Amino acid sequence: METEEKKKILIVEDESSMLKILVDSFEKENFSTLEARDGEIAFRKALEERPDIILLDILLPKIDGLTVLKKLRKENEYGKKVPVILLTNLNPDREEINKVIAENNPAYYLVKTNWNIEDVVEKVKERLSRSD
Amino acid sequence: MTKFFREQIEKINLIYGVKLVVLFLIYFATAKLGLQFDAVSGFATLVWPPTGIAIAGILIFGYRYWPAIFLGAFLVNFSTGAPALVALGIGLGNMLEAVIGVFLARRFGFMREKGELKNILLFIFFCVLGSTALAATIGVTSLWLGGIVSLATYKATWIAWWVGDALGALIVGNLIINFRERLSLKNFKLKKAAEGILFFLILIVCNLFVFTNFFTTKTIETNNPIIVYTIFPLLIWASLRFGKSGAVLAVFVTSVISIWGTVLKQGPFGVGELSDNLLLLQGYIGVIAGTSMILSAVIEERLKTERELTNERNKDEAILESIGEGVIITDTNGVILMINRSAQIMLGLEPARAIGSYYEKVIHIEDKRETPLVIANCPFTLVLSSNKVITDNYYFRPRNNKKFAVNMTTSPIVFEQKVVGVIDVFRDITHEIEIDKAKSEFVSLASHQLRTPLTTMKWYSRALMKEESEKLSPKQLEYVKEMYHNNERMIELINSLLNVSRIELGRFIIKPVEINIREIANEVIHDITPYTDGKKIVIKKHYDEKIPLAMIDPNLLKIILQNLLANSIKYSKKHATVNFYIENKEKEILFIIADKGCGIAKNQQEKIFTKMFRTDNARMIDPEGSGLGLYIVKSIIEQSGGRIWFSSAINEGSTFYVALPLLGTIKREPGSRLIYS
Repeated sequence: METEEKKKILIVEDESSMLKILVDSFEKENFSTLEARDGEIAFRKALEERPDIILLDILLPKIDGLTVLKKLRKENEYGKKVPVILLTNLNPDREEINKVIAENNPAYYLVKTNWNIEDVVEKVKERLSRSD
Repeated sequence: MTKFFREQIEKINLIYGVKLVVLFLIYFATAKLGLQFDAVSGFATLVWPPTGIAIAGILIFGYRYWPAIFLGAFLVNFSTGAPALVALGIGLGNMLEAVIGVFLARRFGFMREKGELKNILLFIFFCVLGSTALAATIGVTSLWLGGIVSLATYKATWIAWWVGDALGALIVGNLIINFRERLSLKNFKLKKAAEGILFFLILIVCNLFVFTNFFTTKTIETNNPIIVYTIFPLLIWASLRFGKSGAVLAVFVTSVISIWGTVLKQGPFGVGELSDNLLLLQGYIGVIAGTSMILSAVIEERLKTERELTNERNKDEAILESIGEGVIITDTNGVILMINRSAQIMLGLEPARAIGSYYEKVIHIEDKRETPLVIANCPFTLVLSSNKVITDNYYFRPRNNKKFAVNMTTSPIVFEQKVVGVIDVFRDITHEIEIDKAKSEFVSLASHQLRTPLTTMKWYSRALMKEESEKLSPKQLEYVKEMYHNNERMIELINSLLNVSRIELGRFIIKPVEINIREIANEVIHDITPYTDGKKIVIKKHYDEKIPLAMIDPNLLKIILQNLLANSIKYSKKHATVNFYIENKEKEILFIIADKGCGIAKNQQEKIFTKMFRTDNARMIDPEGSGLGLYIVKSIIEQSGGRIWFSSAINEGSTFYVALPLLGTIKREPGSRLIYS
């Protein structure tokens, strides 16, 4: 009997090619995947579906990733606790970015070009095992 | 040509001749007139004007006019009845009196410096008292040798001669010299002129009253000698109000009237034996003359100095006013002492409102994050307490205007080793900030846009390599790996370029946290294993026993170590050893990475840290390199407050040293230029 439930992951990414391969990779690793291609959808789905972990891009249409993070954290208990991994190509240079990071507690800030997907998957699994 | 020069010489000679004759005539006439006065032995008199004329003449015209004096004195005495040889002697004495007096006075600085007091004292010492004694000696000795004066009357004659010449020099000589200097109506003021005329009328009247029977016939009581002191206040008034010229003129007037009165047997000196009284009178004149001249000299000097100081100060103020940047000066209490034109305009402040007020009351200053500053954090407070210069960016909020950004340097004003005030110099940097912002936004955007397709390439080729590899032929797999590999190069290059522009824009963030250096170093070595395995290179670790936890930004430390280790691997041969030391040096941590690789040629060593530079060796071994690695490493290290240096020789290898301060690397935030002490 399977004691482990499939973990739910919400992948937020506006580039369809990247989204596709991310979804494929996590499906392969036995995750149940949710997709969002803009910040609005991301926020809604997060609250509705309550994924176990969120992969969040920053530059998104409608609402950007940092705002989504802020709103989530303020929303409810779930929003405050859900692990969020920022997966972006922006350098963590700007004052604004760092401020949001400092106040809203993402689990990681990963620059896409520096990470292979398998390593991202590792990170996700690692983070999930920690919260269990 | 020679004709021209001859003409010039002739002209000079002509001028000389004319002046000579003029001086001679004046001297002769004055002396001849002077000898009309009845006096001791017929040759000396009370105030001998010719002495004054002679001294003034030599002083103004020059030493080579001595013949005028010599001839004048000789002829006067000869025509008055002295034997030729005696007249010759007197002539010599009078001539020497003028020449030597002027020479000695000049030798000790007369007229050279602007010291009025010094001038008058030198004049009195050498011309009035000194050379006149010489003239008296030569003159009376000549008379004695000629039998006109007996040994018994030598002394009296000498004294009369000396005093007469002295007064002549003091009063007449001074008069001529002084008015030669002042023959300009530059500072003519009607009020002053009126006061002057009034004064001199009063002076004349008083003198007439004291020394003559002009107004009333004097009785014994009213002829009391003490009455002569009443002239003193008038002379002091002249010195104070009219300076040297006034004093000299007043003395002259007094001398004339007093002598005239006395000779007419009127006034306090007119009673009794004339010869005795004349000496007393001369003494009186000498005293009032000397006192007035010295007093007026002192006053003139002070006035002159004051004028010069004011002038200098005005010039300095003009300089400060015209500086293009804003300048504000405060005292040690923060009270504004000066605010220049640019500052007034930028801050919208009237000087009347600013000067005398407390800095924080009239100027609203915020730090670069737009937080208003309290007094304790204002730059001038910090500068006063630390005695250091502070340069930083701030915002000013003028009353009726938008706030604007400035870059300001605040320095203590040190005078005689004490801090006496603070000076701020600032300029508007609104434009610079806008440019900066635009630049960094561009970099941000560019980095993101460039990375997007690279990420996609990276992930898809990786997927092919890993996941789908069974479905590919070996050749296809090889090609995919090539794609992945080159994509990685591109990513690295973009990362380097981005780092470089972040460093240069000052957007580079350094976030020191407490780290375990050992762990970081080991992580780096672990991450680099693919490269070491490839070339079968061994990294030998030599870590010190005690390496304390340090406040260093771990990411940056990784970049530094990665770069240096990667280099040593790249440029070493197969199976080589790279030695990696970490040493605890109390105040800093020293990393040493030593390889025995291809080394760096001596003539290329000084450019090693420059952007885009690659040595010929490096280019041969690794044609792919960007030439940015060491530039980035050096920038990071230096901005953390550390040092990097190396030693190397061709084919013998290179050893790189990195020292990072343990006592906290400098925390750095974007755009700050604060200098930590």
